[in-house]
Amino acid sequence: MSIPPVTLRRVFWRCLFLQAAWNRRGMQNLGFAYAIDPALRRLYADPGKRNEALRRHLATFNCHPYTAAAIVGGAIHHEERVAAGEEPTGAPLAYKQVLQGPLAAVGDGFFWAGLRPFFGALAAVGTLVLGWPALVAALLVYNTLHLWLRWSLFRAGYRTGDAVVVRLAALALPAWAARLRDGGAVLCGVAAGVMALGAVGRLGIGAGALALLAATSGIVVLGLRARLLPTVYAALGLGTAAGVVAQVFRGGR
Amino acid sequence: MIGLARVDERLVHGQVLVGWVPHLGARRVVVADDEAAGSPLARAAMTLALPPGVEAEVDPVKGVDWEALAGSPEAVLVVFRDVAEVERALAAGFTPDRVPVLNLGNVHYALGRRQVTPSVFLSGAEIDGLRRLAAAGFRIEARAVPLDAPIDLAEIERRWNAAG
Repeated sequence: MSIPPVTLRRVFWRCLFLQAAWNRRGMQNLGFAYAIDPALRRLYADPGKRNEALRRHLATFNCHPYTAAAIVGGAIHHEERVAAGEEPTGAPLAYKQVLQGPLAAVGDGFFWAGLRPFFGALAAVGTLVLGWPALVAALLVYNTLHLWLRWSLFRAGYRTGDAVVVRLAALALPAWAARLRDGGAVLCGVAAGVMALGAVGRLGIGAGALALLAATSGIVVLGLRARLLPTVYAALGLGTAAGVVAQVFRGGR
Repeated sequence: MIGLARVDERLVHGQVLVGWVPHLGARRVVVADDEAAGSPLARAAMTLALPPGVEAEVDPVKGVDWEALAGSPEAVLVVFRDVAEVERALAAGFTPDRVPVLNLGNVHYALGRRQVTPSVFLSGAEIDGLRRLAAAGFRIEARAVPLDAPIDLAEIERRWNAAG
């Protein structure tokens, strides 16, 4: 039997809480079992079989919380076949185990290291230029986009099962992630420029030059593949120094 | 050369591609795993997340040409599923002189395994396996991502004993 759309929407809603009961041993296992439970209730009328199905979804699971939606969808796809006697009971678990690592990598690379920093930088530039409504707009667009992608992945997983891999490959998310990272870096540069110009306007040329120096140093340190934390310290230190010197300059005038 | 060999039950995932591949400057990831090599879904999935310019291949443990990997001009990252697979690879030519470090990344909890780091749980048999690998000459560390501090085998054993 196939799952009614209202149940699928309920499962998707529950996918948003995938990490709510994160734990060291099972990681997202409780969240996964909670998410898929409405579908299992539809598929297995016999309480014994439903319990058995729920139990197999308590196995250790960990993925990116966004791309995991595709695996939840695909696990329902396989559970339908298990319930119909077309596949062994281990099929949904095997599917989850194979895809969790690669899809976590796709999600980390695209959402965490690409899309989100890009929109963060966009919000920073927008807010510097246009004020706070730009921040709200950036948050709205980012969240609409990621929720739409999550829903699309969930539906593709449910409809196509194993072939969701082909769908994902066609999206070329790693290539988009690289473009978004470059775009985000450019936006950070623009933000630095806007701040430097603002500093010149308010505090004089010395403060502007220092803000630019701080930004340039940050980029150089990043370019040298420095470890993340020292880079942050260096950027913070230079930024703070720029602020202090700017205050001294202003006080002296 | 082999830049790093890693034990990771999750095989190719974010910590590997976002953390280790750029850290090592690797252009190639080799997954040495019989189960993944035998699954079309796994083989297709392993290539999904690769950033532009990075290749991945999935081979059975006995099917990897270790000499060629060790001799390749660019850094290669090798991933195994568990400690037992590394011992099988050792028998097939994956020798300590061909790899600087054997890294333990993710080994999930299972019955009989004790926690030694937030992401590594080991059984008694696996501790014995690691001792044999160290005796063979491998430098062993537990470290999830390059930014973490590495934990050496002595500390792994100390924590394992303390967790018992």
